[in-house]
Amino acid sequence: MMKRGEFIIFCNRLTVVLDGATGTELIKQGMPAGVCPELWVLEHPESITAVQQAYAASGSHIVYTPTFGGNAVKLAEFGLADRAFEINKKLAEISCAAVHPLGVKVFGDIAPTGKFVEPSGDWAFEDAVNVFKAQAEALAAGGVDGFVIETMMDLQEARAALIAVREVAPEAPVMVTMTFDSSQRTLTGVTPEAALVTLQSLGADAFGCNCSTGPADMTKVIAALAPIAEIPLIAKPNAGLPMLKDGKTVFNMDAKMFANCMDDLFAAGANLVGGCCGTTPEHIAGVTERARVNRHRHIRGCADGIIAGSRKVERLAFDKNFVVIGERINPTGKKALQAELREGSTALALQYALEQTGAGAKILDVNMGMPGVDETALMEKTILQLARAVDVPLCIDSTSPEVVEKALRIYPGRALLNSISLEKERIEKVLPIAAKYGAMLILLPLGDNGLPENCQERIINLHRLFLEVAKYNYARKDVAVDALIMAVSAAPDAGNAALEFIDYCHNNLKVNTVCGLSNISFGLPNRMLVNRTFLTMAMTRGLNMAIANPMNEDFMNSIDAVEALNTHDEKMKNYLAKQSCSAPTAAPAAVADPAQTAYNAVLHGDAALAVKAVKNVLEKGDTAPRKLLDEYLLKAIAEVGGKFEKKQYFLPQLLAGAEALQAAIKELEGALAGDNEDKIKPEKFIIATVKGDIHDIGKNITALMLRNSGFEVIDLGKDVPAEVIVERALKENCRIIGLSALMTTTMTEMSKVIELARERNCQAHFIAGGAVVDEKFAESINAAYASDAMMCVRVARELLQK
Amino acid sequence: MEKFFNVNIVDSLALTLPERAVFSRLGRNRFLSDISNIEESRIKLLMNQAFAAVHPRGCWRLLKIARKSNETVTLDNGIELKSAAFAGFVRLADYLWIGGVSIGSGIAELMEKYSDNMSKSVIFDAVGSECADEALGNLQKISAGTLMRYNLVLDKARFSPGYGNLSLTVQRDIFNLLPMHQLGVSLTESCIMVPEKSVTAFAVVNKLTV
Repeated sequence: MMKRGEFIIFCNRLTVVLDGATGTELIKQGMPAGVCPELWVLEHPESITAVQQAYAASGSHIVYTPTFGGNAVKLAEFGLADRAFEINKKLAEISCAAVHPLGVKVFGDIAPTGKFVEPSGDWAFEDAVNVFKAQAEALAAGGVDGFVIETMMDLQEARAALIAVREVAPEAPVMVTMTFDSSQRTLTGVTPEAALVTLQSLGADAFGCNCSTGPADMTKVIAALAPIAEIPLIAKPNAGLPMLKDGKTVFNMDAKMFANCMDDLFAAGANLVGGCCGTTPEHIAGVTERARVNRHRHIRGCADGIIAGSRKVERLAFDKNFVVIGERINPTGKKALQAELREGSTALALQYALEQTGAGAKILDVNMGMPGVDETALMEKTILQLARAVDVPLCIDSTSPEVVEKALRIYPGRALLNSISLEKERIEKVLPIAAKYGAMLILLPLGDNGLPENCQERIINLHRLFLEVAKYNYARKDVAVDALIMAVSAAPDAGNAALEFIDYCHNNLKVNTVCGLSNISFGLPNRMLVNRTFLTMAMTRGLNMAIANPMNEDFMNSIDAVEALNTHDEKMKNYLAKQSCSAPTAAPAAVADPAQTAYNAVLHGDAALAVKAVKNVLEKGDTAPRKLLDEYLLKAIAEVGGKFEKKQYFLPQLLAGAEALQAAIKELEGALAGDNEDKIKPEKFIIATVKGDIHDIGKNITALMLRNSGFEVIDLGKDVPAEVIVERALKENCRIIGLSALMTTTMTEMSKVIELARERNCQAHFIAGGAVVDEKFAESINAAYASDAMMCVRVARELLQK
Repeated sequence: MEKFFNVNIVDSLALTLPERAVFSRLGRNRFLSDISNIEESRIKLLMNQAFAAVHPRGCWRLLKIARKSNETVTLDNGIELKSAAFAGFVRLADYLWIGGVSIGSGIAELMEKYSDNMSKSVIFDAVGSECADEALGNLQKISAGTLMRYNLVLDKARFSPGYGNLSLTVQRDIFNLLPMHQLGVSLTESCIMVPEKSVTAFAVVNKLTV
């Protein structure tokens, strides 16, 4: 087996040519349809020998074993799971015998199982790792030179396979390729950059893409990866796209066309090139020819540290944009979160995650440490939940090596680890774990003797830390140094010491610096003022990250202002966009005038605040209930409607406004009952989803908007027979009826309702609506038409005025 | 290849929350919308609450075509699919792919629980609809990858009953072709699938000439 170092030298020396499609070539060799390819090849070894030797003759430096479907899960489809070891081992041996004498390397092919690993699916991560471990062990026993994990659609399954191979063969080279569609995303929405950062830090020796697209789309993926890749890049495109030619479906690129596209792939940065579906030894011969005359990319890597969330990356550069790490997912001092976590619920953690990312946090710190809980299980559950819900990378924050290992192993990205210090357990236990999973590190310049007293001690500790992490090949860009902020209330010079240290790290060492900001103000009044002021001072000295609460708007605005002034915010684009924006960054708080608060509450759809404000108005007694209704509440809902019409508001905002109004009116009802003003009796409006149809969301929205517009809505529900609708209309002497249907099979029921109404001499107006209903259909059944709830209100008013 | 003419069930279908599609379905306009961070976070939280209740499962198989005319496609088991638009859609097909997914009853249960809160219900409903659609797309992509190994090309376009004059009553035939009941889906008399957030569709498959 090759060593990883040898593989890198191999890739640096020349542009490596891989093989092309195997399945198609096996069919040419006589493989019948419907058989298990792995078993058929085992029974016809001469077939794969012929295919692999043809690729070798075409110039392939590496061929893959014919074990694409060789994992136990796939073999189980043919009842062969119990022969997985034997099949994989023998296929590896056959491949080695075929091409080793020709000087060609054989890589053991590992491909998807077809099952989806958590958090994308519900297959347990460790079960996936074990399946791939078994296959890797067999391939290694068969004598492969390295491994290729290919055609992966899900990053977490690729991670499981890579961890499995690394644990079976730590020194073997492993290439990983994933499939990205023409929108440059995997099936589960992962960007190529996030996949690369995650897998190269986890120990992949080369990364790239295969299948799904032709060379043109793949060139875009490689071009996006090249600036941040620290390992060789692979491209194995299909022979273009399937097309119909002379009544036959064929791939649209012959060998010559395919070869001509290789120059673009090399220019984009590909180091290893081959073919996937539709390619043949002729295609690979063309690739070999182009590889001989093209220089492949020199691997430079990226100057910045990069971490990855489950779907996208975050660059951390000591001299570029400031990054806030949201601190709130930490039960310390948060009773509500503690209570939830003790119950095993991660709902509040998820809420904090979404709120913090919405407020501008680029990374989320996750700490599950508190007494009386299984921190490991809780961390795992929270990470899987957050990986499904938020794109941003996580910062794993725990003092326990077991928790750190579980978190980094399961996390489908490249995490930041908080933190590594000189303490014995962190160096001996946590650092090797972090290195195994490729986490980026926060370095805490803390010795075994406790807190350093001054800047010089911090510097000495930091250099000792650099020596320790260098043993695991950590570069300086892959760490962020914690400035060790301490409370100025206890040590008045703590702020200055931290600033001096930040300055040193930024200017002398050119490393990322980070701090736990709120420590500075501990024990002081108006802590946010102190935090914000100190942050501004620290940013001017070079601080580029802070673990802080992003929910304070003034705090985040201060960061934007500093970034604008220090020119990190190019042309002040971000500052101007935010500060010139009419959109509020936070929901309105209560103002001094409770009537105005009620107005704001309806406008922003806050039902609880609306009720509270109405109560306050009634208690204060300086605004009459009728005035509150007419001049505040109804005006607010009219503005909500106006914003909806202008597309400034969308459906949930419209409905939240309507519900806030309803809640406010309910609170106001008693007071209005004593109102002497003449009341107009509300118009009755019967609404129903017709018989056979069970869809009612649109009907319910319409009912709500009608109620808010002053109608007395009689909602008969869904799947309502014509007789029920007509009888009720006659009984209530109702002048207007709304009918809803969502399916072509049920819309015809509308005409039955109208016919029955006319038969029974019910003269009510009808309005028809629903996804499949259009104006023409409504007209054909003698009904008016409304495309949505707001239109229904308008049409109803028009009809009643007739 | 014969195994693809039998039913393939995918018990755990990969899915990520199609956040952008959900916002779009709810009518959010990227350029005009006026929404606070808090309100946006609240909506995303509800989306995630709904997404946690989504458990997509799917099944698919290939179908052999016996005859094609301008109006009707007849399958080899005698089922007739009448629609000029559908006949045009499958004009050049060697086989048909039929797939069905359901995201389970979790969304319906949530909507029932919050039936008096329309601003929540409408978000749950949108998540359910978009997840069902996305899940069917993912089932199709997974099938395409599998079929390509056997030199069968599955087209990306889909055609569902209820569209292009292909009657919704075709769902009854689909329920005979696919074990939708194994996914927990039943069909009402008016051919509506229950749970509501379930989808079926046909797609075209062609043999690749090598």
